[in-house]
Amino acid sequence: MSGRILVVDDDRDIRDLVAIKLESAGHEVVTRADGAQGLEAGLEGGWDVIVLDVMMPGLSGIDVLRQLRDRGDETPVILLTARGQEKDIEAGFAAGADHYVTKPFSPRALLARVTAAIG
Amino acid sequence: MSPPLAPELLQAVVVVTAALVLGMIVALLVQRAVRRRRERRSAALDARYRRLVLESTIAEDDEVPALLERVRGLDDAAREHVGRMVFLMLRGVTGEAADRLRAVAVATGLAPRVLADARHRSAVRRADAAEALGRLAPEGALALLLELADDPDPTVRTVAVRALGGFEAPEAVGAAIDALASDSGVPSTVGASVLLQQGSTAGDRVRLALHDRDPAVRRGAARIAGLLQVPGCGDSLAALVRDEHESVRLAAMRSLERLPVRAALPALVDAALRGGIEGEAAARAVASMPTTWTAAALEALAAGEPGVRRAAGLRRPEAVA
Repeated sequence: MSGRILVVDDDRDIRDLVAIKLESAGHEVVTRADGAQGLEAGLEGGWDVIVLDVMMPGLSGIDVLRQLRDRGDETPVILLTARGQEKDIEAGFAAGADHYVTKPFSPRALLARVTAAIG
Repeated sequence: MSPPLAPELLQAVVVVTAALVLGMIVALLVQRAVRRRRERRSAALDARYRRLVLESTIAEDDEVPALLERVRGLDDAAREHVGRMVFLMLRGVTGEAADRLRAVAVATGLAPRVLADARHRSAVRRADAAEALGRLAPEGALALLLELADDPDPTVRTVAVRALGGFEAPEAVGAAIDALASDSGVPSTVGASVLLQQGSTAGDRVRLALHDRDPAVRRGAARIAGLLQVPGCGDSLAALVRDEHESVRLAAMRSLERLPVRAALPALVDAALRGGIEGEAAARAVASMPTTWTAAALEALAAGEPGVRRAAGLRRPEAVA
């Protein structure tokens, strides 16, 4: 099943790697390079899954997620967190995240998470 | 009052100063032009080869040889650029995609340069090589990283030990344990995080390290034993609650919160009744154990300091009344 995925990460390499992996599986992918752009795109709606990096300058992934949930957006969100930052994972779940993947990550594992989230 | 400068001398000073300023402006402009040219070149190479590198991460097995052949066929500048791109991308990915990127790195000829740099006389180059060996993992990387983990330079040792975290091998575990030593020059968090990365592979060495002569090693091992829940180290952790070093005792108590050991209860109660930070840590460890073990211990802790009682989850006497 293919879906429409929003990927928000300030690291261009990660953004592109995630995008190419998801596109290779038939998903439509839109990328954004920071939290503010990500929030704007997220609020436009129409996403099947949002992949959000936690550590971004300005609005963090958790901030974006919280604002999305505050406005009633229930799109499944997968957080990308740095290894060893368990507090980010806890904060992410508290803010309404559905899953998390720790960096460095396997794009294949992320794809599996996305596929599962789309259902 | 000093005599005024002769007009000819004054003129010479002005000319030399003007020439110097002009020279500096020209140097700045040249530097800026060179930088812009380099950036344009890099952007052009990026635009040309980025897709190739990205595609390598999703290539099917039968597509890989042709892809690597394309990389090998690039000119020197392009191969160097692709190598740099791959190296940066490897920071963020693991699994099959990382294996593919490593294969591209090898095809760019990066690996021999990194292997050679591991024995460079400059410590900076050796440290960079250690990081690259960890990410690219070319053949022979483990042996070289173990060598670099004993490097005379502490920065090189630190980078090498951190890089060993990606190699699931008993030798890597040994290097991480050695890095816990007080005189290793490697931050203890580095050795500890490598042991966590190694997971169950580290169990046997961590168990032995609980009896090390160096308190820094015992402290690190005690923390890791709890975090990894290493089986068979309960009695050693219980004994460390009475270690002569406070930091070791505290580490053992924190681990006993995750790895309950009934035999540790008498020592924990003694420590809790002494109060202070250690007393609270001991009380937390007691409170985390099964209630069927701790009735008598908790009764004893009721006589402890308020902080200890709080840590043990006991109600204030007035609240009980």
